Amino acid sequence: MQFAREIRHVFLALLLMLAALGLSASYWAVAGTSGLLQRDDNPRRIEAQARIQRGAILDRDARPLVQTVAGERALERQYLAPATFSAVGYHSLRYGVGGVEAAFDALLSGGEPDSLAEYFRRHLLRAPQIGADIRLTLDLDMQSALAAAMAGQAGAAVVLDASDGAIRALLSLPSYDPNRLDAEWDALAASAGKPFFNRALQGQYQPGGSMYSLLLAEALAADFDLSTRFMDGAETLALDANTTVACLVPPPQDALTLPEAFVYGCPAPFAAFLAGEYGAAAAGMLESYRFDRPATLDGFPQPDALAPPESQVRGTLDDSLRDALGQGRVTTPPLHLASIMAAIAGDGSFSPPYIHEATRQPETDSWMPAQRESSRFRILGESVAAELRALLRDSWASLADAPTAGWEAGAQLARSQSGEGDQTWLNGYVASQSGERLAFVIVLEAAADIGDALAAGEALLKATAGNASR
Amino acid sequence: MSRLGRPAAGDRVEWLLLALAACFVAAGMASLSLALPDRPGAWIGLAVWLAGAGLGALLLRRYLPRRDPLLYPVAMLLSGWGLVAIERLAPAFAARQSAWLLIALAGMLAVALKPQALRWLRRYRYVLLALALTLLLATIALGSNPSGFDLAPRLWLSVGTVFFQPSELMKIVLLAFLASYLGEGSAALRLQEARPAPFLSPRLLGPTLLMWLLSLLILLWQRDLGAAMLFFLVFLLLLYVAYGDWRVLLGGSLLALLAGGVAYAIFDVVRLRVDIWLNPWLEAEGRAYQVVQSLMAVASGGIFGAGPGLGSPGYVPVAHSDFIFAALAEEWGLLGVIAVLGCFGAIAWRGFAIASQWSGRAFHALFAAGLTIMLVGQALMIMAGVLKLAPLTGVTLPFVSYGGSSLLVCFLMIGLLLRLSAEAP
Repeated sequence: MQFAREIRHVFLALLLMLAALGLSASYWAVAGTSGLLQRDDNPRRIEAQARIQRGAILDRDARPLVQTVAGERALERQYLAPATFSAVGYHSLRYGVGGVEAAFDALLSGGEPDSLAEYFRRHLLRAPQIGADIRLTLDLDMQSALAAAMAGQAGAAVVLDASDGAIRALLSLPSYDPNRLDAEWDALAASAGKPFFNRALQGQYQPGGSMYSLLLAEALAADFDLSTRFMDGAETLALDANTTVACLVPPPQDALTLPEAFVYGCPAPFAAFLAGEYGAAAAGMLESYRFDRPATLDGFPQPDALAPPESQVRGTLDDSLRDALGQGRVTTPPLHLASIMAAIAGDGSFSPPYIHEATRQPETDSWMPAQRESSRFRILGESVAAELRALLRDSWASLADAPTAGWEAGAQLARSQSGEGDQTWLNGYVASQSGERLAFVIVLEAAADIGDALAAGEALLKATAGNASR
Repeated sequence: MSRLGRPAAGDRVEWLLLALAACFVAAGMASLSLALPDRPGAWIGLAVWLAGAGLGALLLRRYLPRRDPLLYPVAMLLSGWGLVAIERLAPAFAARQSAWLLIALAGMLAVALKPQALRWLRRYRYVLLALALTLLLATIALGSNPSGFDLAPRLWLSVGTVFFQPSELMKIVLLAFLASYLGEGSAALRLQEARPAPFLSPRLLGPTLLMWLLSLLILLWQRDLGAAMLFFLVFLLLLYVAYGDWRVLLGGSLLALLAGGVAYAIFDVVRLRVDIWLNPWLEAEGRAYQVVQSLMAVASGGIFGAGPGLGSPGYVPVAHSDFIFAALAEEWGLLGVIAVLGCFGAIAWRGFAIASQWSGRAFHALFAAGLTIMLVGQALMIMAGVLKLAPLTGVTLPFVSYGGSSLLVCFLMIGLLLRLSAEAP
């Protein structure tokens, strides 16, 4: 038959080419999908994100902090509580996610389908992707009180429930308005105040006088006689060529006991204590209080640098002295110090902090408690913690007005020095007669007036008492 | 590759396939209306398609009883799918495409039902070729581009707001001319097979070089890489069918490579297409944006696709024309892609089956084979470009892409194939 062979050859060649196209399409549509679709220049990725109805973020009393509403042209993410902006973070199609929005992005955005039915619902029926609501441990009143008291400052504040590590307040200043992020991103990113840097979680502050609580704990644990007076207790110490430390509040006399030095923030008695037979024991306290493994929150940015490793911590005596006085190589994020204060406010146990309390899946009414690791461990004896609380109460009584009736409060003022300036700390606790105990740490950068820190502490006490009376 | 049953059985097959195509197109339009309620034109397009498909089937059944029963439903399915896609991608062009569909169907019926069509094409091949070449040359002087961009290739002649692409008409005329020319020479040449190197015969070399030069001319003057490549590819395959010597494919491919190398060095358009084919990722947001976005569209569609109106094919520039295959892949998924490939596979199957039936008549066999190669080859070229298997050529996807001239000529080719199938011994 004329041409039959050639026609068959051409037909087969064209069929082979069609098959090659089928294979190529299969590659791009199935095997090569992930790399291609995750590219930054894929506009569909951004469009798909814009269609996701992210879940709401609520405080512990289910008051909305962040919500998604239908705008004129697209879904809009609204941030409702300015005091919580630094904690809840941001969600931007252009700049990604930060804070709580980043840590719980999978929950808030609905994540990947967890069942075949959901897969088909989403990918075949093109059902909208709806994220779960999450309830945080944050207390909006407490957060607002702290934010108002610390307005205009740079620093951080952390409030923890001493019984389980729940974070009641988490503040980092200066902050930003996530509602205006796209418009202000460049200016914020270039700002000297580094508003995207969460000082409460990532800040590496020298603890300075905050260490005196822990030195007192060591003294108590070692049955040191706290009535022992140290001569020249008010003198200024030169730790090195650049660092001198002095009393935070001028004491009425030069000879001071350790509790008196604690109240006035005087370093000399603690240095003398460390120079004696207790110095060697105190050298190990950096490990005991886990400064080499500071408390972190899963999913949140971690501190940039941790404390020096054990071999360096056990350096010369001078190094150990400086470290123990909080002016050495040891730095800490406020969250970690708050966790230690929570141990003091409680039974001496260290509870890993957490912020996520419960989850409510889309189209359901019930809240499911968030799963978390319960890994409490003791860092202080119960009696030592109780004695420290008493010392903190004395310290607070000398600094500020008495708390509301039915409440007890204790706090210590401290100062630390870093290359970028001084920081003022207010570390303490609040407890009600019913047993609720909160620990707090407030740090203000370049605060010349210790009154600023005290004002923040008093605002926190009022908010705590106000909450209890609701 | 043989005739599909008796006329009555063929009618039933054709109606069944047409009914299935109608269901598919109606479902596509309905889905589109649900997803994008602001597209009332979808129902007008569907009405036009149903009316055209039904009327065409009735006339074919009455006046062309021995036709191939697969070609018409497959062409209608593809054109209906194209209407859905154009309504989704460029609703402003959908009404115009619907009108062109009616014109194209009228043209198809005209050539399919006209007994003299094939004879005229053969008898007046020189006149028609001269006319087509004149029109082609006219585009060099008077050509325009519907987009209005100064730098866009001027491949169209316009009368008011109606644009026509002479190179589309050239396809049929050239195929008729080649089938006639090669058909007359093939018998004599095949007798010389015992002699050494028959492929060096002037009768073979002459038209080969002529077509090569014509293709280069189209590329040189019109910067129409797609048409140039398509014409040369079809010619080579047809030459192989006519003379049965694989060396013509080898020699022709070498010539094509040579021309390609020269074109790469001389023409920006060729260099651009080759460069972005080899590595589009370097300029994903620049010159290779269209290719990269089309690959993303295919990837985004996955296996099942986003669904009509639910994807984002608008990110692929000119998706309703050259890149409509990417849009189909995004909204109908890999399954849709396989369906499109299957449709063109079916056209190849039936087209070559018709060619095989004309074993005793070289012109008819070569013409049927040429029409089939032209339709399927064009589809292969653009789909391979979209999937980064070959450089982009800027041709339309037959029956599916937006474009009146393309749609008309594709249906004319189907009409001619139907005529050839009906007259086959």
